[in-house]
Amino acid sequence: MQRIIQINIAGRVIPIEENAYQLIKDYLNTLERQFASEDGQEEIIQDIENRIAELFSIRLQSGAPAIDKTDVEKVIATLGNPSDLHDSHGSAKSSASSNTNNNSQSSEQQYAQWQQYQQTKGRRLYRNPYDKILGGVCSGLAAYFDVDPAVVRLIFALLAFGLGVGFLAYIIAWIVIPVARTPEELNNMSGGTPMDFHTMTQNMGDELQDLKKRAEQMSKELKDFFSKKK
Amino acid sequence: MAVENTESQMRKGLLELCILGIIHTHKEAYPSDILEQLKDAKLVVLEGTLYPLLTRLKNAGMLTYRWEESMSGPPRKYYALTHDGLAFYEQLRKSWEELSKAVNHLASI
Repeated sequence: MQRIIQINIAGRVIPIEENAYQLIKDYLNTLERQFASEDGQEEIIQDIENRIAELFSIRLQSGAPAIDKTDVEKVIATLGNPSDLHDSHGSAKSSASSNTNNNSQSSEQQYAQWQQYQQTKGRRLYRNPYDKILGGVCSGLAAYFDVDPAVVRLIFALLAFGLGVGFLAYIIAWIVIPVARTPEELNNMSGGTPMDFHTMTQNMGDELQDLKKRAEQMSKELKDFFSKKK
Repeated sequence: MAVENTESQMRKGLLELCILGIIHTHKEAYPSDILEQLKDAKLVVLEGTLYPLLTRLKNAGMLTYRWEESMSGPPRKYYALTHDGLAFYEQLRKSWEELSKAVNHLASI
């Protein structure tokens, strides 16, 4: 059971579950420390708060009674973890921690917590929508095992022609492996929604539409290729 | 050396040019529009990296903004290029064209 509290973020009153509030508060605190050495720190945080308020409002308008932890995690995934935003401005962290030594928790510690949070989520298997021949299965597998996608594709192709199992294996992998959607998922090939029957059928529909387009394109390319040969 | 690391450095460097380019073509743009455009172009960025970048460009006098009320949430900031920003963008674009020409030339040998 969760207690729902009201918070004011960027001038909006948002009902939110207590543990979700804790999560978003920690997130904003970490960001504040990370940008502490920047001139426009307040403005950057304000912009991010505005965006959070907007994303929450959209969620509430779609019928959610209150923001819960999953909503907050999604918002954080969209905006990016402090650790991911951090390396874009080099020394921000070290100077931030010296300014906030009197606080109960230094930014170093919070940063370490975030990293831990990232690691517990670990690496996950996804299909890569930006590098695909059919469904992005091979490039997803390649990212997962840190090998060249071409090698994985070759193995699948050999299995398909040699034994016939490659084709079937590919189709199954296509169905069961979710596609990476958010930048975070793409970056780590990690996180994301667990597969249930509903999303699986929904994905199948999307993928079939997409495959149709790709097949048309491929046949056109093949035609061009052969007509050039003659 | 990880290829992802080099890739992300390249992307970061060019993000500024891309953002200025988007604002330039649309005359005015709201951060979510910019993200949408970047996503359409398959340039995947975290939203959180955009806000500091816009603020830095604004503080450097390259961008201005005005507030506009929104139906779905808090008021939005619409960014536009300043006179300096336009010159900066054109300069960046020119260097990018020269650079990409050079890189393509060298890579095709």
